[in-house]
Amino acid sequence: MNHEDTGDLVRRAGQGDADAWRILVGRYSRLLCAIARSYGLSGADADDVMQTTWLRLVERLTLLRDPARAGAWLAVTARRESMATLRRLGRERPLKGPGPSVTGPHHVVFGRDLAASVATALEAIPPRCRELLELFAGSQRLSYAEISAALEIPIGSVGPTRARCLTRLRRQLDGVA
Amino acid sequence: MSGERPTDDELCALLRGLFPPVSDRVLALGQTAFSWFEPAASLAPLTSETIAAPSGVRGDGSRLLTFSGPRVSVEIEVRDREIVGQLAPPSAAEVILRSPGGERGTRTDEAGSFALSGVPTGVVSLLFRLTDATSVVTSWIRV
Repeated sequence: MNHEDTGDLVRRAGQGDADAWRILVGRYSRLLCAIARSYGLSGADADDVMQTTWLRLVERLTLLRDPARAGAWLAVTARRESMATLRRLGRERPLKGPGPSVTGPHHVVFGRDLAASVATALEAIPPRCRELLELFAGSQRLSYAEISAALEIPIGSVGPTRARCLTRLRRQLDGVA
Repeated sequence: MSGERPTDDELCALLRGLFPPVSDRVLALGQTAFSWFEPAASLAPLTSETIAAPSGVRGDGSRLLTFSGPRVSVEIEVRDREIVGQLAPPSAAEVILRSPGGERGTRTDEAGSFALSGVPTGVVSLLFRLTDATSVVTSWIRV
């Protein structure tokens, strides 16, 4: 898949280009899923968050101050919508861990012990680490700014946190193996 | 597994295989949103929302919402499945209630007020087509 500049895609979508919009949706859907899930939302509640977040981008396509930062804008909007959904559901604060979900780590059936061990190790590391590794592992390359906005960590911590999470995963792997 | 520990790159490649692709259903949520793009309309974002005290009779309080655009503003009251609203400055306009389930329309009276019943549950937005051929959309709200 080509990697066109997010700012260009937003501008093109703002001129009615449906292909540009489709690429944006492909690029950021996993990010929005991960954010909704990090608030303990799943199923119809997570769908509500994603739907509303995309609608908000549609209504502001031609108004965004910095189209190149649309990914971070989506992340912030999805967090805000997740909190609004939690309020509507009458919950005071996000659930602690993310619930089981359709896109959560799972075993892929192929006969390699290492992959199975990594899958097991993933379940054992903190949810925040799992989320971060999922965002890095997705087929769509997200920028540090986008991951920073999604996980609410300073942009300077994204790299070190990734290294720390990989270390945790390794330690878990060593324990498992 | 001493001796043959995976490198970071190998580990990341393995991780890639462990997270399944985003489902078509989730992608469709994003795709569909684009059909609500109204490039010619100016946006009236939500600027205030208050919840009136529960009436005690109906059980649910009503919500008062204000959307303020560059040239017009809209005030609406949402109660049960009904929206009554007022366009300011008052003007004649076609009013379209947009929702993923479809659209329905009405018109404002000379004083700029309008009413819509049977409002669907979920996200909705109002589109106003004014007599000077300009149009305004409110930001999406959940009702």
